[in-house]
Amino acid sequence: MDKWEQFLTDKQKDELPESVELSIQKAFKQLPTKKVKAKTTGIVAAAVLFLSLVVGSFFSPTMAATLQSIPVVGSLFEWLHVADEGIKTSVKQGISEDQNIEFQIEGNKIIVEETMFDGSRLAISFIVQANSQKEASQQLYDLLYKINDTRSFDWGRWLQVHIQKKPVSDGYYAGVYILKTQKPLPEEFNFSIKTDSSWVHVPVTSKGEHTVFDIQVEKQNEGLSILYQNITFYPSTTILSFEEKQSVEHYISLRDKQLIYTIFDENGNSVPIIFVDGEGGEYINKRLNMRYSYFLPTREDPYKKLTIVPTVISTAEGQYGEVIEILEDFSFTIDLTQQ
Amino acid sequence: MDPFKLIKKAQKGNSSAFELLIKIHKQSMYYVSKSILKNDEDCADAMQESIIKAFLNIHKLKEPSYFKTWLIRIVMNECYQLLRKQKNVIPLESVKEPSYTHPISQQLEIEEALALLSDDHRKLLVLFYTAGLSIKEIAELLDFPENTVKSKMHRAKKKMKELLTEKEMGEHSWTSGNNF
Repeated sequence: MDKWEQFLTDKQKDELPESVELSIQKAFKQLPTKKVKAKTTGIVAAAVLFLSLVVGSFFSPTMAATLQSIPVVGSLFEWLHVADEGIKTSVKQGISEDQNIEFQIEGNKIIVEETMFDGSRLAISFIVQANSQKEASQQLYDLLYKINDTRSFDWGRWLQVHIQKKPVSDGYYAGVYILKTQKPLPEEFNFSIKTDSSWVHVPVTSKGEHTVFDIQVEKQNEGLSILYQNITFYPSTTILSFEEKQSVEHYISLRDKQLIYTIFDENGNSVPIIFVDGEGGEYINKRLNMRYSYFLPTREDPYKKLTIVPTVISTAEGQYGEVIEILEDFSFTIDLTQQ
Repeated sequence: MDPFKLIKKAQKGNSSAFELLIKIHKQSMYYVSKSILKNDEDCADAMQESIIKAFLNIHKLKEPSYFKTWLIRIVMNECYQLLRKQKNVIPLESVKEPSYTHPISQQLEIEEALALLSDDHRKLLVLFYTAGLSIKEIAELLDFPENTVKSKMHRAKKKMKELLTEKEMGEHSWTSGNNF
């Protein structure tokens, strides 16, 4: 057997990546329980129903008391340090919805406090019963949900979970769950969460306006062209879209390097990038085409200017992130006071 | 426990028996999915869906001896479904990080050569060596005659050897160039 054949055979003994092991465990948890033929008599069933009613009515006041002890005044979104500026800005526009839906997952109480959906991102504020911040975060990451009865997987997802470090009350943590789907969400939908007993439906409606400003400015040289296309303002998110085309020679010249885009505001301060969406890869007219959308938090004090600076950084081992070249000729400033 | 007994139990809805079966075959499932999807997060998603589908459909499996090929077929279908959904969407990292780095070990060299193989060749080698399927099982899985699998396998092995030899030659000429 050749070395490579042995290598492939030996892989059978390798440990799997943590994310894969975790997905196996998640799948095991989702397996339906073994079907057992019901032999319960009417009397026993009635007794079980009676008991659950008693237990149910016993828990509610306790839960209410717990909630009262949580020192949150007004919107949880605004109170949370962990929600980004864009979420806070959108909430200040009054587009969040109160939910106050409580349920249990694996015996832990979870409360959906509010939701905010402006067409760009869905944000949900939660209070979670947990022993630690990490455990609360894991509970939210593990949340099984459907959107309008379509499983989460089919929508594609980009998820952020932020949990406040300090508990809001003994054994309760507050946090925000921010979801962006690959497939656009409808104007109205049910965000359904799998709980210990059933699926709980959280009704969500898109609120707030969005506006698109066309830019259509192209910067180019022999090997690279960048077409700044448009900028869209949602209550929580500002999305800058542009197209990048590069020759094969230019692509190869970026070996051990990466072309990134840094963005500065009118004061020269770096603007945080919430995330980047990229698609494309088509080879047209001897150019590799890519389309990008950079998601920035919308500010309460609106941006007056945004300057995009294409920058080449190193991806070589030990030098990752080091700036190699700033492509000044390709940088572009959008004057938003003129829009 | 006898795998056949485990399969029978799982078919009756015994989730513990089913979980044990998955634990036995998880490496095969992973490496087959990795030969199609490359990205670990996608493999994790595909495996999660496959496990649930397999449990929901295991009662339909008529011949327990086909369990492994049946399970791997579910994984492959799930991977292709995911690929279809991701069509035209290239994650940033995959575009920005071409594999230009020189191999630093033999292991990396083999990984790189595997990545350069065609999808079909790579899948065949993983199914045969890593998943441990026989030529007959692969033929059933891919719906090819056994002889076709044999000849494809022969070509895949030949290509793999060629790629590794090329890499070795490349390394040598680079080294001698440096010595000058």
